[in-house]
Amino acid sequence: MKVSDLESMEQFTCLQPKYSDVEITAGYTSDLLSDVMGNAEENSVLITIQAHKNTVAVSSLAGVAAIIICSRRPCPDDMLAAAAAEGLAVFRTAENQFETSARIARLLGM
Amino acid sequence: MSEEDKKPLQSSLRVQELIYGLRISEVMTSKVFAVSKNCTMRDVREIMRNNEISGVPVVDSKRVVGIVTMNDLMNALEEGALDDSVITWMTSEVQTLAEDMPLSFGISAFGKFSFRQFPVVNKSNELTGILTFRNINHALIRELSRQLRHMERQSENPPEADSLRFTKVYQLARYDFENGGTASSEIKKFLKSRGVPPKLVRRVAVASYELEINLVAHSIGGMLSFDINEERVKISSHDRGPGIADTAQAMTEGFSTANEWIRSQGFGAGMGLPNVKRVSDEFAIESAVGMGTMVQAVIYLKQEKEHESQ
Amino acid sequence: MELLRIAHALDAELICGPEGWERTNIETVFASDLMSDVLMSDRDEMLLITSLSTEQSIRSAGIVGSEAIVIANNKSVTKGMIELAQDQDVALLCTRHPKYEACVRLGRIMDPE
Repeated sequence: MKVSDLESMEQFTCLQPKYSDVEITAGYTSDLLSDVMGNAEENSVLITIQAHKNTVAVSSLAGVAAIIICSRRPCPDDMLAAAAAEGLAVFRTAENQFETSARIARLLGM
Repeated sequence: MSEEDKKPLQSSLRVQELIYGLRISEVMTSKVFAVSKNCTMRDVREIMRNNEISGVPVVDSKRVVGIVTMNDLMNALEEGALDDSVITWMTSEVQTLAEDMPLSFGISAFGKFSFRQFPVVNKSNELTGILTFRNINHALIRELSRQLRHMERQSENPPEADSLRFTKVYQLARYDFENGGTASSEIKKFLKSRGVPPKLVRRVAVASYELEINLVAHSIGGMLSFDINEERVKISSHDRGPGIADTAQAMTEGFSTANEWIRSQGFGAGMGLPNVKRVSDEFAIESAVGMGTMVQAVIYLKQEKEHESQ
Repeated sequence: MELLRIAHALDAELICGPEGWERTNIETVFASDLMSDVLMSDRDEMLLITSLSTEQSIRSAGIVGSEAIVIANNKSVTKGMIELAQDQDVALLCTRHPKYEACVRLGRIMDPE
């Protein structure tokens, strides 16, 4: 599954479309940035409600392929600007972290 | 509450709570002696002498443009310049207080600035009063005797039994995450034990917990008080600062000033205050930078008054 | 769904739990590390999955009336957390799986749709 495949799904709204369209190979669900930094796999999609520009910085360092903000949480402009600068896709969904994690796993065929 | 629960700390907190309940407008001197820009220092001296006051605001069409203090007058006297305009000698960087602020903000102002009196203004920024230490002492004595009379009356005619009657004040210190939540747990248990429906207990617990965490994470310290009866739970949070510059912004979901450490504790996602408002039937917030923040949340316990979402 | 079945699916270990915790019914799963988010939920028969292993996680779960809390990511649990869980009547479990993996496993048996 590629990042662009998420964009075509009705559950996900793309908030930041200037991204590099890499292959997603895993998921990681966390709101704690140190946890993301330490444990998220390269090319994973980060499932979180931590809508903050530091989430972008940490994701970029950890090699995260895309960020999904759950529970329809608002994303500040400085976060989206940082994501655009890093070429990292940001999506928003109404579903919570549990539902989104289960959905991503099904999409990845896990 | 049993007798042994009435620790001295609790009663001293009650005195503090009195301060929070009063508005500056209820405490200030409303009869203000002010001078206009074309008055002289001699005029000010007459006013001070005849009325035994130590500071006279200078106004320009009701707006405060400065204040002449005893110090300013001495300086003018030394230079033999009593016929100068007040403009020459007044202190023009004057800190005013708003009349609808809680008295606690005024007390913080005395601590923060070295002024001995603060001109008080209304919403249109017009001078309506002046606040001095003497006003505060008088107000406290007045309120304490009122409370005392009230207690005497109560011991003569005990009020009707109200199984939910409960008041308590908790003190919270900055960054004391260890104890943030203790008050909420206690209140939750109390309401549960009195058979309050779980959904209402949850709303009270959520509001008080968010307020506790706010005090611990964002203020330099403050207090959380509960006033419960059969009708409603009233939760009030007061802190001594730093104060919020823009309360509308603070009420916006996702807005937060939390640092990385607070975030690593699972807080500071900018949901706290909106969450308190969401679970409350009545909600009010007031804040002034450098003086403090006051939040009041009321949750109705009677069915017919319940929250829309229930 | 019974909590015991969930515990098995997560390879989770029980740290403490009220009498009869195995048969506690769980209808909703909520995964979050931000406590304000947890406090916004108003679901009954809830299980909280979090990688935030602090006393405040237990308090937050207790305040919204969660039946159980699973600490993910093999995080250690403090004595204070156990005392609070007992005090709030919340079952406390730990799993070595990360939060994502825990959600995926529960998604398979609970169908979050």
